[in-house]
Amino acid sequence: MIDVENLNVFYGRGAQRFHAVRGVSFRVARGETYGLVGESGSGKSSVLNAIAGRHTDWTGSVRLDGTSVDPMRRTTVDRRKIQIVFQDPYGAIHPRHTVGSTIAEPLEIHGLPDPGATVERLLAQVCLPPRFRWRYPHQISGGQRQRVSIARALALDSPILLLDEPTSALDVSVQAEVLNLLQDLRSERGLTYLMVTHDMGVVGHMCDRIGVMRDGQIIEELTREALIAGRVAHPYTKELRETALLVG
Amino acid sequence: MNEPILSVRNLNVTFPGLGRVTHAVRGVSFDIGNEKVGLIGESGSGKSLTGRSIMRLLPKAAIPRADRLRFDGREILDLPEAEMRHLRGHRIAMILQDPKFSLNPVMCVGDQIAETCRIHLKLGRQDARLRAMELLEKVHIRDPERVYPLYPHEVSGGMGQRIMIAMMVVARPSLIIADEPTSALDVSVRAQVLRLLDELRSETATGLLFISHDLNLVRRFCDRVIIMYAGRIVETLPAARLHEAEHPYTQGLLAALPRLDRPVDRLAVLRRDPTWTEEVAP
Amino acid sequence: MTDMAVPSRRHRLHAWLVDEEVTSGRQARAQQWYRGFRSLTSSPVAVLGLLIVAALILAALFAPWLATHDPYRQDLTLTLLRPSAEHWMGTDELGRDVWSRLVYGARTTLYITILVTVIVGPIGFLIGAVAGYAGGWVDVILMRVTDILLAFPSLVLALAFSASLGPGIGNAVLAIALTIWPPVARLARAETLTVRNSDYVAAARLQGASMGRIIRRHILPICLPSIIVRLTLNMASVILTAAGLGFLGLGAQPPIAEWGAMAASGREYLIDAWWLTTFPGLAILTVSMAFNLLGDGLRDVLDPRNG
Repeated sequence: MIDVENLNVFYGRGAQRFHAVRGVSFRVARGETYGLVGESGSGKSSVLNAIAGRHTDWTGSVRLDGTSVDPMRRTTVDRRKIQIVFQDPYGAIHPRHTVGSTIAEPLEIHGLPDPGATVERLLAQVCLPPRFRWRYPHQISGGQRQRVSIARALALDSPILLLDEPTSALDVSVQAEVLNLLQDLRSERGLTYLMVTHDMGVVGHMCDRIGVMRDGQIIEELTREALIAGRVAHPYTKELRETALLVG
Repeated sequence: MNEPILSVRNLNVTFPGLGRVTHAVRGVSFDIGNEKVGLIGESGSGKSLTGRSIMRLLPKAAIPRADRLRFDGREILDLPEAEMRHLRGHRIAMILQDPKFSLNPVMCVGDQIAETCRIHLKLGRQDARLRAMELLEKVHIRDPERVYPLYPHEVSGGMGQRIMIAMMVVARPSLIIADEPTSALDVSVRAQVLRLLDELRSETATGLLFISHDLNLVRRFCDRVIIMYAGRIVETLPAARLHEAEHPYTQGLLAALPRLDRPVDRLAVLRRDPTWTEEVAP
Repeated sequence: MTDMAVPSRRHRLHAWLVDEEVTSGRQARAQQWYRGFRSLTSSPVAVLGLLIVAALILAALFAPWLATHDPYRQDLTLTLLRPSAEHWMGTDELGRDVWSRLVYGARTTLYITILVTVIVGPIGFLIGAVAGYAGGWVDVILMRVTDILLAFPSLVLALAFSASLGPGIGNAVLAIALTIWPPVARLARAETLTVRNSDYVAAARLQGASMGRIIRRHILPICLPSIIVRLTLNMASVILTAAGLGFLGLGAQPPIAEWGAMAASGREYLIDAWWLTTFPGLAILTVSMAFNLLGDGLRDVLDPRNG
């Protein structure tokens, strides 16, 4: 579903040009959840932004659902394949739009019929009551905002969701609710997830396969079972893994 | 038992608002001796307000009240502002999540440490500078010469926290209040900062109030854990026995945490019981 | 508020405006407005500004009823009369009633400020938002033009424009508008830069929203409050500039009642007839101060950083 080969991402120009991601390759099958784990500056968010089309200065090949995308130009079809759920629930929705108009926006952009009914259906899918349509972001909690953000990402029926640290700004109990919701949506709609996070606990819970990133490269790729069982090769992965263990 | 460094009894913080009064901290009581106490809670639980009450750095609208808020045998809430300022600089230190807010933005970090040396150790300009260099080295900054002239916005989060700690090494506070000091840091840097805090504490008797939402971290770093919910303390227990928590809220938090050592198909969702907010902690 | 036992219409309206269970888009918007109005009226200074501005608008609307005389009728037998029961603010050198001219002058003042604002607001926003959002050479060109206009004192520039366009109210409006859009454009650009890279704009862009749509739907609501505040604060300087142009004979032409021109014509009689300059001068002072107070109040209400 997502097929990334030899991806290189750059920032800046001229002498200051910075090579943030160096030759990253991975594949995500349909219905799978793939996790990119790493610390700040590891390049994991750059990979996500390049795939999403938010950042255009990259080389290599990115194929979504079989067709490759151009770094500079995205077609309407490309755009409808992929949506992002952002990290910061406060920055991801417009502070002066109601919940309803936030969710309806992609529908309006793509000229889909009857946004009103679709908004109510989407709210129901993310377990928010219909009356939330008329609320402003400052009237709802962080977890509820993240649900709105997810509803917006679902609006175009995109088969791929990119999750950029979707729960790192949330409390533990709210995180559990949002992660459960994401799992339910995946099984109901057959979605494919690419998740970027620094939280090994979340990765081990959500992802089928994991790529550990450091300094712009994937240093180790492992399955969920291997991560849980502790069959990890790289010392850096071990260090990360230890943060998510409660026994000690 | 010795006199605790900090003793809090029945602390309340209220926000008088339009029409209704918000009761953010409700009857909180605890003591801190020479130990690391973790204060855990979710956003809105009142954990940060509790820490700020001790520093008397509450938002203007907040009204703190307590039967006792005693530090070093003195009632904090009654102290005049000038003495409180002295206390803050010398006896109680605070580390915030973002060190940029605690450092002077228009003074290079080295000079800020040197300034602390001049005030506390009564050193001359030259000596203070040398001492600041030593301190930068002591908090494991590899290249003090390069870091000294940097301004706070030029240093990374982990570096900033280390500089804060360097200043504390000089001031030798007997109580440190750390409010999410490592939440913005990467795993490897986090470990270093925590180790530094430990080193600092090992030299003199220091109480540490470690405010965090990270159960794993507090469980491993602290001696004792206080769990707050909706402005109240629901449970206090030794960190090593966190997994034996009795209160349903603590149990719920632990169950909601995705863990590698206990994989589940579906995370348990915390069911909030309205009686938790009424119950008074023993 | 005091009598809770009887649920009157007013109470129901109030309940509708503060109820957290919002049931329609209309109610959501009404609640936003209501909260803004409540916080605006909680500041006595802003209320004072609002009252004076309201008085100005009422005076302009009901000028024919408020005026005691025809503002244009000259009577050379009644020149330079002191304020009296018959002529509340005295008469001018042509025997016209100063009070009546002042009331009609409110119309001119309001006409100029509203027209200038209506011209400047959209132009300034559009230039600033496009420059900020598009970036690159578009930004460079638009901002250099803005900088050039900013480099001149606005009264001098307005003088130059109205001198070349010729005297008259319409041209004065145009001249003032040409001089005061640059700060608005700068403001709009600065605000645009802060939201350009936000996640919600990124989300809209990744969904395929056009630049026009992003500017209209995402950037405008963020810029609008500060632009409204800026324009309100600007009104004081618009009034002063208009009065200045009128004073120099480049604004409203006689016999139109305009405060600046009135003050100017009274200059020759300053010693003998103080009322000719004092009352228009006071009117200019009061109204421009009121707009300033209102602008400050609006800033406290609208600025998201204070929310």
